[in-house]
Formats: sequence, structure tokens, C-alpha cells
Amino acid sequence: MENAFILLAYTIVVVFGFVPIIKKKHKGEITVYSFLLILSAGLLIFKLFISPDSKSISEIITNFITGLK
Amino acid sequence: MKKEAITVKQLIFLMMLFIFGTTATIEVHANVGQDSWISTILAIIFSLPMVVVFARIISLYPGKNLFDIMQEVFKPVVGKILIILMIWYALFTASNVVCIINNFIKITSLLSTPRLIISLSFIVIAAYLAISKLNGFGKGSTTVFYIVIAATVITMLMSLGKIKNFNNLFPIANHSISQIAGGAWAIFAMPFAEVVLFLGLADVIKRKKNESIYKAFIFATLIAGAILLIVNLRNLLLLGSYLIESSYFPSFKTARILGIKDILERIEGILTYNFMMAGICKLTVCIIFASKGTTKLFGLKNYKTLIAPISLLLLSLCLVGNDNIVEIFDFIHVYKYYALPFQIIIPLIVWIGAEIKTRSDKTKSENTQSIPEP
Repeated sequence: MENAFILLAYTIVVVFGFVPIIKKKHKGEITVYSFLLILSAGLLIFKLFISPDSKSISEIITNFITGLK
Repeated sequence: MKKEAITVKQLIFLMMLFIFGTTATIEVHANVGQDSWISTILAIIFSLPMVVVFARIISLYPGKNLFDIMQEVFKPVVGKILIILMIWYALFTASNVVCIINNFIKITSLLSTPRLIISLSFIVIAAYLAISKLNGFGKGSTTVFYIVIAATVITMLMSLGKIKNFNNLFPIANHSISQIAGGAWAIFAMPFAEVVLFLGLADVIKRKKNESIYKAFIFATLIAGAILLIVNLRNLLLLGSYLIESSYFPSFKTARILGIKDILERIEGILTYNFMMAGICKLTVCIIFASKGTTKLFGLKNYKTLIAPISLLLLSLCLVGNDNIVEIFDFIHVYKYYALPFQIIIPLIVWIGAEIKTRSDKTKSENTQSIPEP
């Protein structure tokens, strides 16, 4: 269910955001847009499928700072 | 195309909503029990010089935002590194806001709704606000602020009848000065110094000649600080320090015991509204900040194009950033150390650099003018 919503969000962004930019042929915007999309999708795939039990960023930061103190 | 802008008045309302918003409900645990009101006062005092620095940065380069200033003052590589750091700060702050709202909703009402769905709903609203005209966002925040204040005043008036004595405030100054100052630092870091994110919106501030940006920053800090102080005192007097420290959302707990006999009950719904509205406002500012930063980083023109992918990135960060409410509140305890570079060190570096750069530019232009033409 959750994954379906994520897929829907990505589809909307790609269809209404990315496709018009590709049509305009703005090279810089296309590169940055695709970079951000890949980065966010990568993070999602990592957390949802590859390593769901991995430590969260805030836990890593908390442990790091507590270790320093 | 007409350039979008927010007025100084709208900026003040936005900042007040930003400062007061989420913190009024979660209340940063300063770990000083009944002395937390002293820490709040100290935090307001500490934050004044910092907001003056923020205002100074804006006034040195009118019409430019933090990223323009970073690029102009520093060499491209250093400027870009600073921009990346500030984008990270904005995105992670936003992800924390989403996670706090998320957990608040899950704890208080929607117990079995997946957190991703709640996060997505809030991010979509914030992204829509960020894509819309900033003027509308400014106007909307003014209205929301009045509603939030009215709700806060109502809960405060209702709590007056419940306060029987002031025993919960005693013994006053039971903690050491260093503990109270540490608590003040925690409150300073969250939410007062977070207004550094408004430097990203500096290019859209429309100022009249008689309007001072310093006054705007100081006024917003003082008013929002005063409201936070009153909320803090109200919670202390009604719940006591032990209950506050054992609760994630003390203001919500306070609101649950308020009411006028059987006529008016369950007013915690008002508080939920406040929390969500202010949270959305904070989220929108963070998204705009991150989008503007990314636009500057890659040399693009229109920041609105990147709002959608930045929002998706934020959604991913919400998943990777925090797993549960315990982690978030553990993180809030170390937040003052984590936020130090973004809230104090980087702005100070930018300020010093901007002072030196503007002065050297001024001297150069004076020297050029004084050379007589042959």
C-alpha cells in the first residue's frame, strides 16, 4: 500500500515535472532533476528493500555526538 | 514577469510562526525541570545577537539571499561547500519536522495509518505552498498566525482557572548556572537560531525605506519568545516539571485537562491544528531554502522547478532520517551540538567575509573615483 503511494508520487512528479523540462531541453535542469530523482529513489529503495533495519541518520548523529562528549 | 516578494510584515509573521510553531507543542527538554522558564528567558537573550548578525548579513547585500552572498564572498569551491552544508541542514531540519508531526498524529489520532502516507500528505501541502506565489504564502501565514495566537490565548485563559498555586515553580534556581545555561543553549538551538533559514528567503523581502530588517528579526524573536515563555510557564504550572519531562507533547497533555465544565471539552484539537499549520509553514520555508540552494549550487535560474524533486528527496530522508519518536527526542537532546556549525559558525564566517568584502569593494570604488581623469 505504502509503495503504491510512493510510486504514484514519483509518477506525478515525472509526468508533470520532469517531462515538461525534457521537452524544453534545458540541459542543466534535466541533469539536476534526474540527479535528485535518482538520489531520492535510491534512498527509498535502500531503506525499504535493501536494508530496512539499518540505523537511521539521527541515531548515527546522536551516537557520534554522545561518543564525542 | 513580476518578481515575487514578501513584505517585512509578512516576514515577521512567518518568523513568529516558524519559531513558535512546532516547539510550542513539543517543548524542547532543557533538562532543568522547573527552571526551564529561566532557560527560556536566557535563550531569548542569547538569540538576540545572533539574529542581529542574520539581519546584518541581509542588509549588507540587499536583494540577495544567503547563497548569492556565499558565492560572492568566497571562492567558488568554498562557497559551494558551504551551500551544500546549508542545504543538508534545511533538508534534515525539514525531515525532523515531518517526523515529529508524523509521530504526533500517530500517537494522538491515526494509530495505524502508515507513517509514509502522513509524511507524504504534509510534504505535498508544503511543496504546493512553495511552488505557489510567495506573496500568497506570506499572506496565508499572517492569517494562520492570528488563528494560532487566538487558540493559544484561549487555552491560556482556560488554564488560569486550573492553576491553584505556584508550587510547581519552586524551588527556583535549583539547578547550577551551567545546567541552566545548557538548557538555554538547547532552546536557543531549537527554535530561535533556526531562523537562519530565512536568510535563504532574503532576496524576496520587499522593504520600504522606513522598514528595518533588524527590527523585524528582533521583534519576531521577542514576541515568539514571549509566547513560548508563557506556554512554558502554563505547562509547568499545570503539569509540573516531572510530567513535562516524561511527556513528548506536554502542551497537548495540558490541553487535555483544560475545559469549561461540561460545556467545552477536548480542546486539544485546537492545539493539533496549531501544530500542523505551524509545522507546514516551517516545512515550506525549509523546502524553499533547499530548492534555492540547489538552484544556486548548479547554476540554474528558477528554483521552483526543483521543488518537486527536493520534496521527494525530503520524503526519502524522512524514512532514512528517523525511525521512531524515541530516536527523534534522543536527537533533540544532542541537537544543540549538531546545529552549532549551521546556526552559528557558518553564519559568522559569512558575516565576517561579507563585512570584509563590502568594505574592500567600497575602498576600491572610492579609489577609482578619486583618480583624476587625464
